[in-house]
Amino acid sequence: MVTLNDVQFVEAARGFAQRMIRQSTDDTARLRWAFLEAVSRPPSDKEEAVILRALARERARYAADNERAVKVLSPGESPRDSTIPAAEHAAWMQVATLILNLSETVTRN
Amino acid sequence: MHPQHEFQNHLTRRTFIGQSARGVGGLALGSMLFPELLAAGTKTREGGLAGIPHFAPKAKRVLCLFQSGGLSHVDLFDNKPALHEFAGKDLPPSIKGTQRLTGMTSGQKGYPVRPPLVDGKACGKHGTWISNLLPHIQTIADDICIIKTLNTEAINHDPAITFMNTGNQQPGYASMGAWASYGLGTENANLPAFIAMVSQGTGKNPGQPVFSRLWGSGFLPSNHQGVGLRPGANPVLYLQNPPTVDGAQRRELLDDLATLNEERARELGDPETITRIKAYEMAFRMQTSVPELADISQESKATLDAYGPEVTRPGSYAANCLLARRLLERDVRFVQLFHRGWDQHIALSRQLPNQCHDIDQPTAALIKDLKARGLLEDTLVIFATEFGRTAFTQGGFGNPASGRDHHGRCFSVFLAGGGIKPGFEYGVTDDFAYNIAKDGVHLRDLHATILHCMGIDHERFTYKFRGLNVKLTGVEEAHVVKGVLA
Repeated sequence: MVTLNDVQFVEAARGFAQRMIRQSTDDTARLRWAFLEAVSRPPSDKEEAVILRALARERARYAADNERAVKVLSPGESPRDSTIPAAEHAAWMQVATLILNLSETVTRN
Repeated sequence: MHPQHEFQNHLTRRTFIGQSARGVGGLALGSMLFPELLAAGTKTREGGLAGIPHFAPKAKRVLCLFQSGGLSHVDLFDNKPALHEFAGKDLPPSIKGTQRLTGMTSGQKGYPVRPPLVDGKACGKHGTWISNLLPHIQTIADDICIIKTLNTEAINHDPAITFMNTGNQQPGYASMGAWASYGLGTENANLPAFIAMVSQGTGKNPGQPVFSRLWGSGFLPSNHQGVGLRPGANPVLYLQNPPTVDGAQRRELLDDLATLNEERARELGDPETITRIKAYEMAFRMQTSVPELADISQESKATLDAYGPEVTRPGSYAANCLLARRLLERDVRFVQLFHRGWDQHIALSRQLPNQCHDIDQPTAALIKDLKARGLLEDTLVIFATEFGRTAFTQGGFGNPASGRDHHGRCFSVFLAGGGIKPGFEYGVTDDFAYNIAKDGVHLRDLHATILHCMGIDHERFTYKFRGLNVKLTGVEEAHVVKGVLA
């Protein structure tokens, strides 16, 4: 519950998303970087597919509702890179939440 | 357990989870959209072991009202004429014996007998003697069965409270509620099977510490550990989703998360990954079930009045008693309250009345409330403590600063509800409530009896750990106390 809802973790997901977006312009490259960063190994094909599917779903959600994207990005005190479109940032933020909550991320194995 | 066996075990469990995770998710979503389903609770059992219960249970749920610190059986339940006759005179050596005392009284010059602090009276049809410090509990005498000869080897708090709650004086064993969750699973998937709450008494403040391992899972899979509710308006923190994230969006994310975690668990066979998947599912369901649980605005004034004025102070024993009833109504398997502050080494005459006042009215109200709602008949109530207190005084006789030391040789607890003989007393202590005269009940016998009421044969309820088939009742022989059964 903490890692999903505490402001500190919500903000961390926003920051992690921002770092992913800055890595590359390619979706797959971004998520591979994030996965390696979180669990020190590349994702399997299946894992990659699950995450890309989640990304597509969240992109559609926020593309249709920019205000929702702005709001979901609001928690936390650190400033957001405003050059990143809100809908895109919000979609990646959900991907970040997913990766940061993997059992493998939060435990040593 | 051999790693290979463990892997095979989890292989089965994992396959099950793998197949059912989506189904469970769908269920959670359904109950979110149709809250009346949630309010009614889902009546099907989830989890638990095949073949358990072993026989038809008398109790479907357990409520343990744990009085932490060592409640004085001498003052409250086990009155003896000799305590008055010998007031101020040393406890006869033949009674005192040579057993171990704690360091707090072992060097004391004399051991003067101290009679109960106040009088009591014979209550109910059975004529059970109960102290006038517990006027409300006096009114439920015919609903309860007092065991006067419970005994433990432990003489200090931590080993004693650990023994009572886990069947062993050493930390690391599974608690009673965790065993219940492991064996019997849950009948309301929207709440944890085992919930614990702690309150601080007004007797000794602060009381002895109460650690979360008392409701821990020990060697059992960690999803069986009790969930501790926090006192106050938010019993569980971080229930609120981030802004604009609704249940449907969260559901989709958790499904993805479960898929990824299952994938990894399948590869590595780490049972704790399975536990984590379950924890995320439970968290999701609790986002709806906990606020509904904690909202007592629909309770009638009569109900609130019955539990007493403290019921509206979050975190009080009274408030926890009301929450306990709401949890039991929702078929939570095992609910346990811990009330701190029963440790009257000093100032017994000042501390004990306060401590009794904390718990008297709410305890009686809770048992009457359960009875009125038809829940008492299949709920086992355990009013327990880790040990009793000495018949002799700690500190000078007549000194207002004096109290009583720990006493594990015999002490009183009471049971009520599912499977228990109401309006009854079991076991007899000697003339000084200091040793067992007849029908001793060891802690492991109490544990065997608790399991029996839940339909479990303690001999056949084991978990492989460190090469042993570990039981709640331990390695020594334990007996169900047939005499307290209805």
